[in-house]
Amino acid sequence: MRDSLLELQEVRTYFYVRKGLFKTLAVKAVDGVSLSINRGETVAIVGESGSGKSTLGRTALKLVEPTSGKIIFEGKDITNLSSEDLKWFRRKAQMIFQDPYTSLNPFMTIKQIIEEPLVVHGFDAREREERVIKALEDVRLLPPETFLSKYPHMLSGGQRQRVGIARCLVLEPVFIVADEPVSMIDASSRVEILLLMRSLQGKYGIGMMYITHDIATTKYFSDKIAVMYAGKLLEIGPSQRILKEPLHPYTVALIDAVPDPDPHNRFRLRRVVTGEPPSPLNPPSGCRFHPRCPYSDGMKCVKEEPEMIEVDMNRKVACHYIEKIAGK
Amino acid sequence: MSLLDVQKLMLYYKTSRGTLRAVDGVSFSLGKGETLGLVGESGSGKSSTAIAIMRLLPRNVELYDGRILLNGVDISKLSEKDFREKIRWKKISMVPQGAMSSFNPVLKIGFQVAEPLMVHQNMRKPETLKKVRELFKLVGMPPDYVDRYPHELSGGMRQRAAIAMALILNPDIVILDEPTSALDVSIQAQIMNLLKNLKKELGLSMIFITHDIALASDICDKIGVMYAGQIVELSSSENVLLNPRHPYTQKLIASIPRLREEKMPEFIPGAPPDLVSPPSGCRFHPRCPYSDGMKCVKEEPEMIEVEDDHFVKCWLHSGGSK
Repeated sequence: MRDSLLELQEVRTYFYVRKGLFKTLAVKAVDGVSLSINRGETVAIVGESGSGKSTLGRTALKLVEPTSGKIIFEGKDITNLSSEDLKWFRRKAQMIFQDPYTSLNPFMTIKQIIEEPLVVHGFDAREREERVIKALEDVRLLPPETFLSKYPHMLSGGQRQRVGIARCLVLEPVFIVADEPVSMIDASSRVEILLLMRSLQGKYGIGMMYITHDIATTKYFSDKIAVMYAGKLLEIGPSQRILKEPLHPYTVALIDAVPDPDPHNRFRLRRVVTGEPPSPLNPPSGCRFHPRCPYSDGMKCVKEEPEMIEVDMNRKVACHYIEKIAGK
Repeated sequence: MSLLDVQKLMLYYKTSRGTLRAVDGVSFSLGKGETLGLVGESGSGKSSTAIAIMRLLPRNVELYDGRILLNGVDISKLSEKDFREKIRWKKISMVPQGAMSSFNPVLKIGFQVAEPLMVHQNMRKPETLKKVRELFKLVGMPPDYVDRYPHELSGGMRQRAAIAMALILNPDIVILDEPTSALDVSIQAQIMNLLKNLKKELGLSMIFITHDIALASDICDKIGVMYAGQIVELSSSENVLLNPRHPYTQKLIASIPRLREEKMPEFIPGAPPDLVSPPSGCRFHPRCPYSDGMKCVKEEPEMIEVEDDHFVKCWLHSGGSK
């Protein structure tokens, strides 16, 4: 077994919103998620909007405080560490943001953007320069010298996202959360960015949490898939296995929703799940997917929350009827 | 005769950096009951083609030219008043990109969907709301949602309302600009099924604009692939998807991650060009693996019919290099 880099144990992250004068409601964005990420491994968190996938990523980086549960990083419990005691963690854990248009300061040059984390962590000018050049080479913005004095608006979307990745690499992190890193990138460049992230991760043995709504992109760019719905994990396991043989009805639906470019598609209706993702303010009882699930029995599924059950090696599913569904 | 015939459409914008050639000689035709997909990356001129047809032009237009024939009549030559009264929304309507988030938050959704009826047909509110209720049923919304405010509806429901609004004057053609790109994947599939049903039941003609060629396959009979303000390949969905002839189309299809096939997706090096100073010759030449570095760089290829009803704008097929 490879050594675990990050481990989340029953993590819950709630946000409280005022409703009227005296009432406060909890938005249960992440509601009991356990998950581990090894060095050199990419775990894809797949879910729709409101599933809590971004909050999970931010919680893993301690950008938001978990309400309960534990975060273990390199064997140390960092759940309750203060920001002062977390400085070493901040160097080792970084984030790649979704939008390369708004996550780069338009008034800073590429050099200033990439070296800012180094300034914060007190590196001297010579080392900063070296590391910036190396990071630019790593993300293949070549030759690096020509990019140093450019501004973000002079670059294409794909190039900007590479600057975002370079900024994340300069501190030589061992853990990266990439939150929808290619959803704003043109289709023809998306694969290029994903390949780049994959190769850098292999080169430096980085553990990565890849957050996405697009399950198709996980196929060649992740080792494990965790499917999230309304704050909970419904299924987790090796990517190839899940994509080939999804077990949870929701995972099946997510995969069904990805069309192949086949001209015959237009002559048939797509298989769809009815309804819409639930509000995290008021998630359904029992299994959170039951109102949309074609297999719901209207009894147990409505009342009892299914546990994550290990169905085979490294593969877990939360569904009361998984044996029945998998058997047919 | 086709329902809509667009010929050499041009739309240039004035910008501080110079002239931006958003649409640069786009031609296509659309038959009754047909769906044409305009597929391309951001900045390829898809949305500008739509607003050029709808004549919803911004103030910084430098050049607006070409012919737009609707049932054989050139509607681009109509006066603004005639166009507004006779064509826009009545004959050709649109679901603009992001329509679902552009409803007025302080007005009930039913009233907003009904507004074209009051403006164009002088109907009174109670009658219009009756029509809206029927339309809501057609697009899969509970009819009593007419009394709700936009924030009380989910994204999927607001998108259905935007589609209802486009259908309210029974247009011949609806232009849909990225109608599902802001929606969750499960809702996207629902909306695509709705569009398929509308196409079948109403015999609606549609122009479906998307950056996702796989999604286009879900509804389009014909596909026009756009690059840098031009259509580079135009044919039936079968031809474009199964037998693409333009290198850009081939690469674009190869860049889709497939779930049901073992094929590593590819990418196209470089980025789409800046339309203020597009590349000379063929606009795809700087990213094209087949560029000969000579003719491709210097001369712009013509649109050539490589087989029956299959048009490609590339020197590979124009008796040029190779």
